[in-house]
Amino acid sequence: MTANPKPVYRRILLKLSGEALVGEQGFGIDPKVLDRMAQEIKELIELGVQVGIVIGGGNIFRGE
Amino acid sequence: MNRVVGDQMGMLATVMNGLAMRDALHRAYVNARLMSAVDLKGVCDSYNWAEAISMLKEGRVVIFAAGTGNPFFTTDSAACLRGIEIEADIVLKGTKVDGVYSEDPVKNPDAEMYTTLDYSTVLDKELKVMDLSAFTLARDHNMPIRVFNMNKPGALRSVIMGEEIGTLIHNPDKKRNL
Repeated sequence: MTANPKPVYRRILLKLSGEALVGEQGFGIDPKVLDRMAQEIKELIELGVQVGIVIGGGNIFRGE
Repeated sequence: MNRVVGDQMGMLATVMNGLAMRDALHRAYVNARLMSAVDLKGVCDSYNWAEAISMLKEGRVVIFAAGTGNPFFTTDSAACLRGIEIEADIVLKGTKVDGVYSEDPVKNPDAEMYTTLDYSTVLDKELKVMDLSAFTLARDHNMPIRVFNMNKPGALRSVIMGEEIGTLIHNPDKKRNL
């Protein structure tokens, strides 16, 4: 599927916006989206990549 | 509303998202820890750099919540800060768009998406990647940033495998100051 069999990164910081968790309902957290992301992150761990995550909060509360 | 109070509410919102993500990871049998920049005893751990590094080395996912713990700083700033602190190879910014465009692609369908950019071009052209505090922090530490579409299933894995998806912002001349 890909040209490189091995990951090119050893350790990453993944930034996800809060809006990314909203899905189709328009507010809050969509469990389906969350489960999909968890699966994608699991794949990285299985590849031996170290994963740090920062998530925003814009889906729940926006300041200003 | 007072800006400081609003930002504190925003920090708690990121903790709620972090709790949901930690729970989703646990359900997927992935070891994960949630660390908050503000103390929330009984809810999650407090941020601790040394613990975070050792957990990352053990293959646990570490979720950093409550931003930087300070008002007036965005979660993009937190992402760059934590990325630099943990000596990440790259900050991957998962968004709902494919990458960084010359103009708003919704307003102008002819807008061009960049594949690579250097920090100075982003600043010169005032391209919207992150707020300036976050972006200049990344620039000052030569932390590469890749903006990609997280809504596309498999995109994250492809990025990790070295596929040139989205937009890479880096300093092509310099290696990172670790």
